[in-house]
Amino acid sequence: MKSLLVSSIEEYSGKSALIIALGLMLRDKGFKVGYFKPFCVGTTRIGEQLVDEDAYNTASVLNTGDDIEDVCPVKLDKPYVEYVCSTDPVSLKRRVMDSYKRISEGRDVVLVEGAVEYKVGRALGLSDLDVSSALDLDALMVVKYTSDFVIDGILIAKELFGARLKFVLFNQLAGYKKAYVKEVTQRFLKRNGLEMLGSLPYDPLLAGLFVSELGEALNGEWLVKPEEDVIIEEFLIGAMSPPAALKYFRRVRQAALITGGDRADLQNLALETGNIKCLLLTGHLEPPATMLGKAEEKGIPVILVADDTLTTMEKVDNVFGKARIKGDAKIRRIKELVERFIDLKSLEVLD
Amino acid sequence: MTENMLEHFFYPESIAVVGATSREGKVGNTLLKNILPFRGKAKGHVRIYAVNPKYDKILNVRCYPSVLQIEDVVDLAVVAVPAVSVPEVLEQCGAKGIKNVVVISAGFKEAGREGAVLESKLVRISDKYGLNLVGPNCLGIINTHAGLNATFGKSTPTKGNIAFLSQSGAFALAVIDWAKAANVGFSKMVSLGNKAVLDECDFIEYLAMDAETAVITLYLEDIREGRRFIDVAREATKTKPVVVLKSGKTEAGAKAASSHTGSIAGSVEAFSAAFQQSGVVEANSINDLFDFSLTLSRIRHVSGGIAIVTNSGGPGVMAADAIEESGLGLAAFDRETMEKLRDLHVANFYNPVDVMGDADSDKFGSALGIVSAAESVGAIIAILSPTAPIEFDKAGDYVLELNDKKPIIPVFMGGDEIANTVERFKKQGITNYFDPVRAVKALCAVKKYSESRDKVSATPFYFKVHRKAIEELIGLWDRKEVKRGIGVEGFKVLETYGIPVPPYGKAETAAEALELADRIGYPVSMKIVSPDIVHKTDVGCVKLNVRREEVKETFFEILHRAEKYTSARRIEGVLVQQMVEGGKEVIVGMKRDMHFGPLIMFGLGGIYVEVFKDVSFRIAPLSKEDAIEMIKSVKAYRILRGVRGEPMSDIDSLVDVLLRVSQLSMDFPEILEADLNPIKVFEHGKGCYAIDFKMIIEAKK
Repeated sequence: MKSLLVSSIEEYSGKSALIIALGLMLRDKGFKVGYFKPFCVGTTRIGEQLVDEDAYNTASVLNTGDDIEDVCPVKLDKPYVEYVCSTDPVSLKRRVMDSYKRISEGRDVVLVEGAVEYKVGRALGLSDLDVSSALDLDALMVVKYTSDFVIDGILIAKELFGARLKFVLFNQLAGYKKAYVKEVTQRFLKRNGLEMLGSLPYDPLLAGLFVSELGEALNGEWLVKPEEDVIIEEFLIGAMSPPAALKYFRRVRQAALITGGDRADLQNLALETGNIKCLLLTGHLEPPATMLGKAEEKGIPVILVADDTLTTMEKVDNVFGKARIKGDAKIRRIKELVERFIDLKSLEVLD
Repeated sequence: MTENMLEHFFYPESIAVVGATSREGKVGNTLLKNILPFRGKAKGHVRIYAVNPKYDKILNVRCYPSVLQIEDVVDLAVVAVPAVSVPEVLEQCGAKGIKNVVVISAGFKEAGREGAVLESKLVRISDKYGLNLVGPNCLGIINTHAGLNATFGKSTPTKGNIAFLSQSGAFALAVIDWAKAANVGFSKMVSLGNKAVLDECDFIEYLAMDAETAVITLYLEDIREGRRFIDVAREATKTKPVVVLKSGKTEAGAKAASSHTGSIAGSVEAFSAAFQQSGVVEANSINDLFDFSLTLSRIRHVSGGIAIVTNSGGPGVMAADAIEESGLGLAAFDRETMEKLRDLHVANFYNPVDVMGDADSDKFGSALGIVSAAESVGAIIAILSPTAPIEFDKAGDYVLELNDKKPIIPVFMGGDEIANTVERFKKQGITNYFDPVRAVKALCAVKKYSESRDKVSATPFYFKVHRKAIEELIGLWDRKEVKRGIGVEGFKVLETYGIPVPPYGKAETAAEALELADRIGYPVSMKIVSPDIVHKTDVGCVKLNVRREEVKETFFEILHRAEKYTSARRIEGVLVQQMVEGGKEVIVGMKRDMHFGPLIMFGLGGIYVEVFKDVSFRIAPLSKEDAIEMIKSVKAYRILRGVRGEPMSDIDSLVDVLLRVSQLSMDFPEILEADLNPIKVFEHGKGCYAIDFKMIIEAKK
């Protein structure tokens, strides 16, 4: 049995997405794949159960069939400080070891997902650093390329992980830096005992939100219900005149338009251009009935919210980029990207 | 659609009035009453049927439960039943084989979502049976010459030679009432309503062939088939003038129109360019619309200058001012004319001719006679103030008599005194104006029309290009990792289309930049490549005249500055380009309009372009003549021609660029916008270079 710890330097770096892609690819090759997330902090209640939403989603996409209590042995169900002071680290560690044993049974590969970022859980002895040594795991660091300074973070992590940190993978890398990362950074990492597996580009589809997620996040009223739950990749604020707006409406794809309910001119234009898949009408202003008729005819959902345009945009910003990998389109896309941009030969788990 | 099919709208031999009722004041009642007299007026035997399951007979007309029970062939159905019942009625019309339907009923797209659903049902049923449908939500149609009034209006306009199409039923209603009082006649009228099936294009096509129509007058709120409109209108204006009042041109107007009809505003520039290119005369007010139409209904052409004959100085001066401003010219008289005028003892025998306040109608008439005989005179504005010696009726006789020789626009100024004469003018289709400026504007419309008609409609120009190369590039942009805004890949598009660009390359690292610059030769210019940075110069992301030892440093400096404005993720690299010295800067742009397609723009370049807005627009495809006209119509053309001994710029090379951009825009509908800014143009024979290029590609749906 082989296993790999997928860790990160920052939160929302793309660990789950990578695990989903790797897991599915391995499964396609005939491997029996396990998924394990020792320390879970994003807990919510689903029915009777207390679960980590993220891990729950990943486990159901990979369909490993393990008891969710084993997939997530330690769940944060009270404030962290409280948890730290009231729990015995030794019994926690035992719990993790036991669950890992059960998950590993009969498996060719187990993909282990780190906590929020590699330091999180240290006070409980459950950080990625602790887990990698306790379970003797090689680690892969997923690094969101926010600026050139990320390499400093990588070096410190390397010092802390030591020989167990072997691989680095950049995420959301775009623009001219690609050339630098390929030519300069790769060499630098090698000198420091790290292997760069490649870099994934920013992908709007993966970052996108389902219309249903959007309606829920904004607590809106459905004036026209969606016929199918499409993914929204971009948001536009409609404040300009229609001729000025037209070019923006046409260059986007899978976009939602946020505009006042009274801007019938922009709403009509948006319905006509075809690239705008959802109208978010703000200020609790009812749009003209003619527009709703057209939206219904074209199958474009219309959501009415009470907030003003600015507040709506802020709320959207808050949920955007934190979307989970679910639905066929997103799953297919992340697999494509990993197949295309990541050099998997170095990952021994895939042999 | 053949004209034959629409013929039945105006000359039906049998009509079914669906929704007819005996209840006074109802639409179905007025409609039937308006249609009934047609029975007697039409040449042959016209059969009229009422349809309403509640009656056997209405106003002595046999009434059927539905059109299906009518044993006879029905040419035209006019429908005035509640909106929800219209689809059923249409199905019956289809089954009965009725091809032409006017749906008067309201309660469709204009009324909300249920209405919109109903309207799409109408469209589907019409498609199924091949129905020609006018409306819904309209006033109806009128053919004065045949005596057909299939509207629910209270009055019928008199016969005339102007055909009027209106997108607003209420406006049509007002026009009918006004026309009656103003004694303005119409040939045909169509209230277009929601334009669910038939629109202005169909009727312009028909009316262009209609012998009773001399002028086609339109009131429009939107034009949905822009390209077809241009083609149809261009064809029509070859034989008769088309005058349009298009509302919703401002932002506020467009907003109002959008909530009213759900129409979408196109750009003002596109409408104006479309009207210009198709020879349509654009009116900006209701006054203009009918002034122009009435004038064009009797004057098609003015060959020569305008002469003013007046009995009062002031109004003559006003007219002269207006003529000068409008670009029409005052006629210069020949010696013979001047001598004759001098013999008549007028105060001024040059143009404007002032016969003086003490002149009587005969003297005024003689002056008109002399002037109308002059060869240099194309049209006359005859201005009269109600001075004591003037008898308006007599003066009017002269105008009516001489009008056949040279078109005369009377400006008889007054109220009660002139009322009788004005009525006589109207009967002859001549409009009298109180304001000389209005008379001049109307003449100006004639000039515009005749100029556009005379213009040879040249065919668009086509170059051979390597299409495949561009397809590959566009394919590249479709892939996710390349942004839709455009960097240097764009230059490849220009090169493929034969538009000259200076040697260039994109560098992602400093070492690459140096390598490129070495290959291009020094000095070079260096610019940021990022879809987020539009005005590169403003943020210090353009460096000119860079020498070899400065290349690496400049590379870092540009990136450093750029990263202050946008994330590194949105920076593609740095463009290294050969330095181009000298030349004058112009801009060529393309913007795709919702309704009319690619709108090509030309203007003088530089940073002040946004202030002066000295630009011209045409809709692609451009002919060579269009391109030349575009360049000549900007004020800055004088600069290109050269001022104070400067050599003339290479205009031919700019014409070439315009034509190639026009073709690019036609070949690749996915290109939404393109901007060649600046283009540096050198002196005649030395060509031009596109220095910077930007374009936006439509996202794949």
